[in-house]
Order: sequence, then structure tokens, then C-alpha cells
Amino acid sequence: MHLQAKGITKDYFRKGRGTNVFTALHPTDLNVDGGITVVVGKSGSGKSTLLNVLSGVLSPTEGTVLWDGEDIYALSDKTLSCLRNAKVGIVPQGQTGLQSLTVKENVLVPFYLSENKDKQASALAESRADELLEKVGVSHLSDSYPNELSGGELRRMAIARALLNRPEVLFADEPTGDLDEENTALILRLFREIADQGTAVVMVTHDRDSLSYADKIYSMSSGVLTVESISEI
Amino acid sequence: MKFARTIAKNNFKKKPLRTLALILLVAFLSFTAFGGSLVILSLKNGLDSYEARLGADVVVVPYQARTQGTFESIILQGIPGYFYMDKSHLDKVRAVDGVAIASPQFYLATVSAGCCSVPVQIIGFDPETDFTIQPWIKKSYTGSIGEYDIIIGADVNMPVDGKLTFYDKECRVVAQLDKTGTGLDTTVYCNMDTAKDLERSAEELGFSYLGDVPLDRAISSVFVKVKQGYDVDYVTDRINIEVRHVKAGGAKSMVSGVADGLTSVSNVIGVLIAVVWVLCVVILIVAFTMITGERKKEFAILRILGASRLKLSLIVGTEAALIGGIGSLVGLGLSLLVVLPLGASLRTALSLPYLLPSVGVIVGLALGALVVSAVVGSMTSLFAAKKIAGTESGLLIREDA
Ligand SMILES: Nc1ncnc2c1ncn2[C@@H]1O[C@H](COP(=O)(O)OP(=O)(O)OP(=O)(O)O)[C@@H](O)[C@H]1O
Ligand SMILES: [Mg+2]
Repeated sequence: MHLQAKGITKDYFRKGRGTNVFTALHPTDLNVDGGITVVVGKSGSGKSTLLNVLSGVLSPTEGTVLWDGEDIYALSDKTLSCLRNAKVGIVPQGQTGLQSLTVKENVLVPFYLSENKDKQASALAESRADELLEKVGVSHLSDSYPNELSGGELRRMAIARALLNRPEVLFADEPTGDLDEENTALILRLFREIADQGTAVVMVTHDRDSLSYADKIYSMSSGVLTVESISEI
Repeated sequence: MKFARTIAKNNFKKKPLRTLALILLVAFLSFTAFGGSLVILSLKNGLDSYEARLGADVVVVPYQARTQGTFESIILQGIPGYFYMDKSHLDKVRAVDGVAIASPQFYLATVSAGCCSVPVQIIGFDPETDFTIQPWIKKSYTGSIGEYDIIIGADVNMPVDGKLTFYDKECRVVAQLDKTGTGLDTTVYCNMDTAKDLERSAEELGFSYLGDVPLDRAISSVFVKVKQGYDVDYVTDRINIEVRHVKAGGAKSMVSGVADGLTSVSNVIGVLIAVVWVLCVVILIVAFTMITGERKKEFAILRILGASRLKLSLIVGTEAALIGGIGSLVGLGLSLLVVLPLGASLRTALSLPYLLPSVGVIVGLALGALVVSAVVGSMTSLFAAKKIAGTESGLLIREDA
């Protein structure tokens, strides 16, 4: 998928004294066609804001986000939700397990939401879920509930969930934040693998290890995005 | 949607206490709706059967009895009582223009002293002319009614063929009548001769009820059927004008006092239902809003993973609908358990006729209450659903529980 952001900005309205409009994202252009794109930057610099706007869950104050040439924020909620479900994988910042579902059910949520009632598709999704849980190393926790998992295990569950529907773009907000070196490497290798298979990966990170896996590196500072390095893809 | 149900069920399992509380709230809705309207309907039904059992167009009683309301308290509340007038009034009533049939009745109260088995109201009717009591008796007894044969109301505790003693005279129960939900259920019926014999026996035992009316000339009331084509009010007025020392009243107007009482009780129940409903609906709205507030993040995740606003509302709605359905059923069951057995004590408490409607009506009422409270119960989640669905998921996910 070709992802293009044109002049996107994001203002937040803060409650409290003084100026209550806060610009978290200054006019930004960005193109993603594939490979691994990494955004680094200080806490509060606007990385998550950027990722949310790009991934179709937060409308920009100005500018447009195009997925394959389509202005996603001009689409109906239903169409955009469908697109997000089918073509985009999102690993949000923080812990995002649904408490009432088991780990495996959590991973299957994108399939449930696709409303695919086909028996065969359902069986396929199940085996894909097993396979992904295996890959991120939490298959032994399939039947546990999120409150029984560690932070790092939950992150990996969220990654498996984001990949279930074989997205064309994966947005990951600090996917390795809670992970040890070994698991960080595991996840980064997984990202490399899917990127090589054609999924564009856009990730936000504080982790310097990730940079060696990146094809493009941006840095974010006070809402301004600058290119750090681009390696040949 | 299967997924919505799965989410709902799992959520219930995780929060059993909260789910129970919500179910109870909805149960209140159907409990009051069904229980309240069942009571109102039973009162109305009781009134109808009272009207039917009274069976006359006009009732004539001595002036005093009418003004003191003795007649109503006998017929309606089953408080034993008596009053008498001279038989000559009967002939005068018969002579009034528009009177088709006029039949006398003779009232006698029994006492709780040793001479009587139970304190009840005895009503003696004239077998020749009676048109109000005998049709009812025929429903349960077709034999002849001889001397010292009695027919008892539904609430008099004695099997058929049992014996009851009044003023030292033994009477044989030949039949028992259907329930009316009024004082008539504790009444004992017999023919005029038996009633007078009992009265005589009472006088011999030292009770003096008759006053200066000689026993062979005493009657208590005259039940009148109006000739076809005549207006009941007109005939009532004629009797009041032409016959002195009596008070004629349309049977309907006697019932109207009851009807007024019924209206005010119905109003009170209506207000109670409304108050409970408003309270429950407000609490439910607040509860659902709080719960969805707590689960903001969960909903944000669902949105991010591709749930549309509509689907999110559906998920919230499914949970509410399940709660609404189960809660309504629980409330219905509870009110059946409470209202049905309490019928009798309600009747005495309200001193109004009270008779349960037919099973068909009860079932219809139950279904109505079930649907309405389930729908209203689920609708209370709409506010919460709307708020959640209306917030951008990119913002929602930051709002930690
Ligand atoms: N809903 C909001 N309302 C007001 N201000 C907000 C809101 N969300 C974010 N901000 C502000 O916008 C700025 C950027 O936030 P953002 O979450 O994008 O930072 P970040 O780079 O992802 O930080 P971190 O690395 O800590 O996750 C922060 O200063 C934050 O306070
Ligand atoms: Mg962030």
C-alpha cells in the first residue's frame, strides 16, 4: 500500500489556563511505500499523534492522509473501519488486551470484526492465530487472560493481533518497549520478515537497537518531523 | 452478531456482581409494570364481577341504610349487618311505572357467640321473584333449596354437605358459589323462610334486630329490574318520589362509589409505577454511562481493530439487551410470586373488589411488560453507546480506566 501524508497537522485543545490550543504536530509530509520506517524522538514530541493520524484513528487538524491515493478521512466511518480492519495492522501504545477475552480470542478479534462467516476462513484464522502466537513466543499463554500476562507478553500478543489479517501496513507504537533484548530481536526479525514479504512497517521507538533494522529513520522533535537517514531498499 | 454476544457473555462472567445489579434494576421495571397493572386490572375485574353479581337495575333500601352506607359495607366488604322495613314498601315499589320485577331480600347478621358457627352475612331471597341470586346459584347447584338449606360464598370455609349452625339452628350447605372478589364471597344465601326462621330463633335467644317491624312483614331491600324501554334513572326517581322512607339507587351508581375508590387506587399505583420507572431508568443510564466510561479503552481497541461506530453501538447494545431481557424475566417471575399470593390481603387492605383476570389476559400483560421493560432497559445504554462511538478512537485510547 502506498501511504502518503500531505501537510498534516494536529492541534489538541487542552483544558486549563492560558492558551488552550496545543499544536502537537506541525505541517508534515510523509511517504511510505514499504520497508521499515522508524520514528524516534523524545517523550511528548508527537510520535504517537503522528502514528494515530497516519493509521486512520485520529483525524488531522489540517492536511490529508492518502492510502493508495484515497483520502481516508473523507471516507465514511464504515468504509474506513473496514479498510482499517482489512489492510492495516495497529499496535497501539500501552496495554491493549481485552480483559474479557483469552489471549487467543484477543488475537482473533480482527477476524471476528471482519464478519467473515465462512467456516473455512474461520479455521484458517484460528491456525494463523496459533502460528502468530508461536512466532512471538506466547503460544503457551493462548488460553490465559490478559491480566495473567506480563507487560512484554501483552505487547507481543498485540503484535500477533495486528498481524492476523495480513495487513498491508503495520503501525507499531513502541512495540519493543517492554521487551528484553532477546525478545526485542525476535520481534524486529519478525518485522524484517514481513517487510520483506511486502508489508510496510511504520514504528515508533526509543530503542536504539531498532535503528539497525530500519530502512528509513525519522526523528520527531516538538511536533516537527525530520529525516535522519534513508538506506537503500 | 455472534462476536457481540461473546464479548457480552465474557464481560458478564468477569463482572458477575455488576451484571447482577443491572439485572435487578431492570427486574424492577418489569416487576412494577406487571405487578402494578395486574393489581389495577384485578380491581377493575372485581368491579365488573360485582356489578354482574348485583344483577339489578335499581336497589331499594330503607332510607337510613342508604345514608349510613350499610348496604355497601355488607355487599362490598362483607361486614355483617342488617336493616329492615315494612313489606308494604315492596307493593308500593311494584306499583311504580317502569318496574318489571321487584324482589325482596332479607338480611341477617350472625355473631361469633356460641350459638353461631361463624359470623357471616345471611341473605334470604324470595325464590318466587328473585332474579339476581338464583342465576348465580344455578351455576353450581341445580337442585331445590329447601328449609335450612344454605348456599355459601367462595370464602366461607365449609365443604358442600357440611353443617353450619346459626342461632342454634343447624343448616346444610348445598352449594358453594364462584369467587367474586367482594364481600359476597363471605355471604351465606338461603330462601326467605329459612332467613326468617333464623331471625326468629335469634330473637328468642335475646338478640333484637327487628325493632318495631313485625317479623312476618319485615324485608331488608328490594331488587328491581326495570321494564324494557324504561330509563333506569327515570324509574329510580319515580320510586324515590312515590315511595316514602326508602332510598332507591341505581345499582350502577352504588358501584360508582367503588369505582371512585378504584380510580384513586389505580392512580396511586400508576404514580408509583412512574416513580419507580423514572428512578430505575435514570440509575440505569448513569450505570451504563459509568460502565462504558470504565471500558473506554476496550472500546477504543475495538475501534482501532476495525469496528465501525455502528458495530460498537451494537456491542454495547447487545450487552444491554441481554441484561434487559434477563432482568425483565426475573422481574416478571418475582411479581408473579408476590402479586398472585398477595391478592387476598390486598383486597382487605383496599376494601375494594379484587378478582384476578383470566389466564389469557395475565399472559398478555406479562408479555407486554416483558417487552416494554426489556426495550426501555436496553435503551438506557444508548446514551453511553453514542458518547463512546462519537469520540475519536485515537483520543479514546489515551483515556485509561
Ligand atoms: N488528547 C490530548 N489533549 C491534549 N494534549 C494532548 C493530547 N494527546 C497528546 N497531547 C499532547 O501532545 C503531545 C504529543 O503527544 P504524543 O502522545 O504524540 O507524544 P509521544 O511522542 O508519543 O510521547 P511518548 O514517547 O511519551 O509516547 C504531548 O505533549 C501531549 O501532552
Ligand atoms: Mg507515544
